[in-house]
Amino acid sequence: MSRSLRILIADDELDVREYFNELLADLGHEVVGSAATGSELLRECRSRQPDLIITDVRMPDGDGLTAVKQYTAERFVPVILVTAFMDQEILQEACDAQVFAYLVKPIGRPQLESAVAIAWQRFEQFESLRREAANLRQALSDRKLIERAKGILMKQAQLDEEAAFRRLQKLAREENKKLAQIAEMIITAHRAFDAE
Amino acid sequence: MLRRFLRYFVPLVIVVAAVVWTVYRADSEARLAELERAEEKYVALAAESLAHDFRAVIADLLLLADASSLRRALETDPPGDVADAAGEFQNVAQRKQVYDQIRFLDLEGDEIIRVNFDGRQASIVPAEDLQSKVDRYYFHETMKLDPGTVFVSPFDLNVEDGRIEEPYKPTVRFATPVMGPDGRRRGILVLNYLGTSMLRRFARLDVDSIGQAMLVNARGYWLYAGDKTMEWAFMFPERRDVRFADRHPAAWQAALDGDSGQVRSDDGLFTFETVKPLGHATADDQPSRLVSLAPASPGYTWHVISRVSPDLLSAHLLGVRSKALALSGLLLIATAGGSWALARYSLARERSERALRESEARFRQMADSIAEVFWLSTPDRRTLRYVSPAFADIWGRPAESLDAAAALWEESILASDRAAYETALRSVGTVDEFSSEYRIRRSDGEVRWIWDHGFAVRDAGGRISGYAGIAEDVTPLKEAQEKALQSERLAAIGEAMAGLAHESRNALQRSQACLEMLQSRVATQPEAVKLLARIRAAVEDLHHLHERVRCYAAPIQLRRDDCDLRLVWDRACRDALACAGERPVRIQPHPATGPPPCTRCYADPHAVGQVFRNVLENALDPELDTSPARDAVEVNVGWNVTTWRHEPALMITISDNGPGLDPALRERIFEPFFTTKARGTGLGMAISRRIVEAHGGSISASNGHARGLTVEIVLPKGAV
Repeated sequence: MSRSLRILIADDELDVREYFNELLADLGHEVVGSAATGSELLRECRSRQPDLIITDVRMPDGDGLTAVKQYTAERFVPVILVTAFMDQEILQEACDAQVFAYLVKPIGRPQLESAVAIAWQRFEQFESLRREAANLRQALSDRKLIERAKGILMKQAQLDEEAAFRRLQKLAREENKKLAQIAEMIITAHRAFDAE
Repeated sequence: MLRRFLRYFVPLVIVVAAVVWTVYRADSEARLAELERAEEKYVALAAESLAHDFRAVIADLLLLADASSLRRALETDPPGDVADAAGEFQNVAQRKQVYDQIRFLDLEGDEIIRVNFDGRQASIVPAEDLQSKVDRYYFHETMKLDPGTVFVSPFDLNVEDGRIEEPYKPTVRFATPVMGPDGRRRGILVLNYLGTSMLRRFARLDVDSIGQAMLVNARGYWLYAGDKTMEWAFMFPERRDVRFADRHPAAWQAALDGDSGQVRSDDGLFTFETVKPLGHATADDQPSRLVSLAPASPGYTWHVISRVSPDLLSAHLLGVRSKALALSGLLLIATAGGSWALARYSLARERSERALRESEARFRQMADSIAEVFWLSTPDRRTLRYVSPAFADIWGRPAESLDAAAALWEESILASDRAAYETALRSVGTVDEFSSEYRIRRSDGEVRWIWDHGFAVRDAGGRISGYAGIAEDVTPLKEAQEKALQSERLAAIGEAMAGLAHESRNALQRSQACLEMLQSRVATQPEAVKLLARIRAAVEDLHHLHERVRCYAAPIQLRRDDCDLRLVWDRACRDALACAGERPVRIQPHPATGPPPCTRCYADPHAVGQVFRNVLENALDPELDTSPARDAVEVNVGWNVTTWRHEPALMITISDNGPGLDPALRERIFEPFFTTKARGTGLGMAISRRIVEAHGGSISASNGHARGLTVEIVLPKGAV
């Protein structure tokens, strides 16, 4: 495990909370908070901003699943469920809540260690994919702008495609701006003239 | 229908005909009697009238002969003025209208006074037209008579100038001597009595009579017959033989034999009465000699006869006959209608009887064939009126009689259930329905549950006339109920166990947590670590047990699919072999006897795999094998396609060469928590049975042909 994680744990049993505390510290992680109820879990999450949440499902004062569902909607963090109950209903809820692992009690060190590692790994992959997708979306929208600006130049300045693109590059260098910004300006200017 | 109709109609018609005939006869007799009475009355009346007429004439004659006007005229000889006397005569003739002539003749036979009556007017004949009648028989006869004596001539037709006067003038001459004031004989008085009017009156009297009135004289000739050609025949030589006496001899003989009477013959009904208009003292029937009031004078006898001819008679009875005919017609129609209705009714009745018989037969058939005991009883239920043959089957012994059945019925009820039975019977007699459930001990000792259910049968008055009911052997139902109750109890236990298993996970988690933490604390103490490992193993065992219990208790959810069970078996074998000890294991199919059967089945491969694993684990478990002689475990598996509950099924026979099982234990291996192993949850085979039964199949254990245990699994092939 390369990275130490800031983990928040929730379980109504003190024994279990202590165990997780000890075990996770031993695994090189930092337990930033622990909760015994659902509402406590939500409050701790908001104040501690953990990297990962390990929670029981059934706890007094609201269940863990509802709390993490509410929190992950605010801020996306990986969640590992540890519960004595295994039924289709909870499983379905867990799937909907994008839970990263579902462990059925009793669990020991190996189960928890692997689940944390896998969940974090998956979360990172997930995050990188998300970033990549965002970049791609940006690139795609930039490309659309540049193509439109290029089209305007070709038409207005009677340039061929290559010459138009080179002019855009030149403008970007001179103005010290991104190609997409220059393209946007051209499109805006063109709209100003074209509005008549 | 027609035959049935005739069967009623013909005898009825005969009866009706007889009745109508009797009524008709009685009616016609009555009519006839009525007629006879009418005729008798008429005849008597007519006879009386004739006699009366004659008496009146004689009275008139004697009065006139003694008339003062005539006596005055006879004071002189020859007589003086006779005008007064003639006037009186005329007066009488005019008034009476029955005298054709009234004459006074002197001793020489010359007419001195003569009054003629022409039917309307009486007139005195002038003196110059008066004739002499000295040669007439009535003059001579009368002249011989003593005063006060009357000569009556025979009743015949008037003869004028030697010829019978036409139209006929039937006449009777009444004459009597006339004496002068001095007591000397002076002549005679003659009354020509007109028979026409007498006869006319005679005929008119027959008001009620329908017969032909006749007057017959003593010699049997008609004086009056209603038919002119037959009357007065004795006056005409050529008709001398036209006599009543000849035409109707039987009636004539009867008339001669008696004074009055009635005779019925082929000629008709004759009613007669003998009339002696001049009194009864006459025996001789010499009319010309007849002298009235003289005891020695010859008889003057007539016969008044009424004849009702056969035609008339039948015409008279025609009313009766037509009435009878109409009555017969009406009755015939009524009879026909009645017969038709009767035939219809009898047909309907026969049909309903047949339907009843059929329904009774059906009832018998049903009662005989149903497995339940159908019974009928008296209102107190103690005495049976009927009990169906199923009684012998359920009670295990036939009863010779209904009483024996009732006795056996009550005897066989278990003592512990008798109270319930008696309680149910206490309300019998008033309730519409009762039911009771009790156990009986059959003659073979077997105990059966009986559900006895009775319904009141009410008569037309609404009173309970008995009970009809059914006694049913509900032992299988009871057993099923008990089983259901047991499985319900099991389900409840299972649910509790599932909950327990769930909850135990938390506890187990806590021990696990604490154990691990403890382990990290005592990592340097090998003894403690070893102990911890043992605790951990125990906790794990506990966890495992809980999981098995939960698995057994949880509802089975099959994910059935079309799968080849041979492949499932193969995988189970691999899994089992992986866990087997060091002993050699041979798993082989039974020697095939035919082409390999289709082992595809619509089943849950994982669940069936679990069953196979459980069976194999038992077979391979070294703990079960106490025989050291066995060097290799042998498991044989056979596949057969069979029929299970009318559906195609796959039968898998798995047998081993182990020690087998005691028969008493064989069935128990499917009970939960039953185990012969020192280690083991005792749930493997129970879960297996649940899985197989969830598939609609069966699993059973038996000792194989050789040795060892044989488990037989039947799984319906389902939709493959």
